[in-house]
Amino acid sequence: MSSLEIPEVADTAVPYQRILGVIDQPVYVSDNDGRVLYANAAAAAALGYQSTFDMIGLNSHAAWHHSHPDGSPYPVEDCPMVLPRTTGLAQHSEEEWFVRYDGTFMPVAWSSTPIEVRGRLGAAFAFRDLTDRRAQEQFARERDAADIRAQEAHAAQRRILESVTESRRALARDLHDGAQQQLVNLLLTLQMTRAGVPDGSTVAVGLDDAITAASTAISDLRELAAGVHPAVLTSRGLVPALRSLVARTRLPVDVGVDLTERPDAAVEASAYFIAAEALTNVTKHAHATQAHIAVAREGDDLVLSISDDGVGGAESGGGSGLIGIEDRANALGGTLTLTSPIEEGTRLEVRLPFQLP
Amino acid sequence: MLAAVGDAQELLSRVAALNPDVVITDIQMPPDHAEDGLRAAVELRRTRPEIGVILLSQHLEDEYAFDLVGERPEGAGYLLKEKIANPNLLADAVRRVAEGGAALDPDVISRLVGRKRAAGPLDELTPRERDVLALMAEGRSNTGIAQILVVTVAAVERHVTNIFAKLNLHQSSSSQHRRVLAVLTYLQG
Repeated sequence: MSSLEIPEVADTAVPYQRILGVIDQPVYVSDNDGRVLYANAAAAAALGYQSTFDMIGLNSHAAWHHSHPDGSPYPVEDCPMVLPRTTGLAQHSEEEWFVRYDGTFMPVAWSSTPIEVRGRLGAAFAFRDLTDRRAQEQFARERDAADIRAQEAHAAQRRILESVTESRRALARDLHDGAQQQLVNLLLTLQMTRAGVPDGSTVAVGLDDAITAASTAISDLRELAAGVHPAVLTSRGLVPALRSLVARTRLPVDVGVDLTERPDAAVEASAYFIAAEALTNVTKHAHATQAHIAVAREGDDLVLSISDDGVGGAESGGGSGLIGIEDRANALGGTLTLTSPIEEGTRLEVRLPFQLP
Repeated sequence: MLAAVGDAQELLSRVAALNPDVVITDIQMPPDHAEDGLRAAVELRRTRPEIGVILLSQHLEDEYAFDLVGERPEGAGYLLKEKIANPNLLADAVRRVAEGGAALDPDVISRLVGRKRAAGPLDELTPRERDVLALMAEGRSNTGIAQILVVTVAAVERHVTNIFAKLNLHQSSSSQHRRVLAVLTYLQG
């Protein structure tokens, strides 16, 4: 709006001041020198003045716009709020801060339009306290930042878990391809040497002992490797690995399966190691006579449960062995439910996402 | 020995050319060291049922053995890899699969038989009957079992009859292969 088209301040037939006096919108009017000629009750309330009369005659810039929020002075020459009365141009901004009567700052959105006052250029101001909105924005920013940190922590947890699983897989493979293969070669050499030695000789007895020891070492190493990471887990998936696990457990365990396809590899590995750890807990602590493992798909979840008929009373935390299970479940965004009434057995249910994003 | 091969593809083509009596293969073979040895073995047993196939495994997993046997124990052998160091054991297995019998690793079978189960008919077997059951599952004949346990064939036959009665299995047509399959299926369940 150009300075040549200044609207009339008021049609005297309409009682503007009475209207402005009852609305919530803070409004004030200043003359060409920047002195307040009029302020409504909402403006007094927002700026912390007891009465609108306390505001009349004040220089608005000097009264509530004299400083930046950091405390540094705000020279009037830099102030965009004077522009309507000096240039005749309407202004709007959400970047300014007002100083309340008690010296506290409030962020404001304001609009100003030039008006003719007593034959000269003045300005009408409307403003709004943005304290709540800024607080909400700040809260939202902090929440977003916290969400991002949580997501990053979660992703890191998952990466650590996956690298642990991969390390175990590699270790088991190295045990098979390295040490176990070497022992098989050793056994072959021992057997061939033994074939050339007459039965009953001291050497034959020593070789027979060595052959037995090498065979035992091969079996032990095989069990060790299977415990670290069973080969079937990678090649055939969760269910064959669970059956193999159960075959190595000193407790009757049956496996119930309701799956038509394999979950994500990381999910399979986690479910397997959770089941293995849970079964270890059962054999160590539960005094159970049997256990049951169930795996099923429910919607987007893989649901794994391990239950036993033992003494119950299991608690999460501490040395219960549940910490590792909890960490594994959490790392994939899964959940864990433990039901373990005294003398009524224990049931652990773990829900994991079937597919990872 | 007719040939030694480096991967599963070569195995299949050499078998076609040489018509061996028995093939020995590792489960894991190049190129991907996954289960292509097993796949080749199953394929061979399907297309060339007259050839005996012995699968060597690093793993004490009965699932591989069951995959190899399928519905037909004839000519199927499954041995833990280190057993090839024992010439007598290997020769015995080769002879048995060459004759159309089965030869499943005693360690694999003993884990299968010894697996902890909820109380059931297996508990009713005497220790000697469990031995006989395991030897049957390995694919041995009554004569073979009698030699190992140093008893008469008639004694073995009595044990076998008792075992089948206790486990509620049909001892149909006294076929060696049906017997192996019946025992394996029972143990797997």
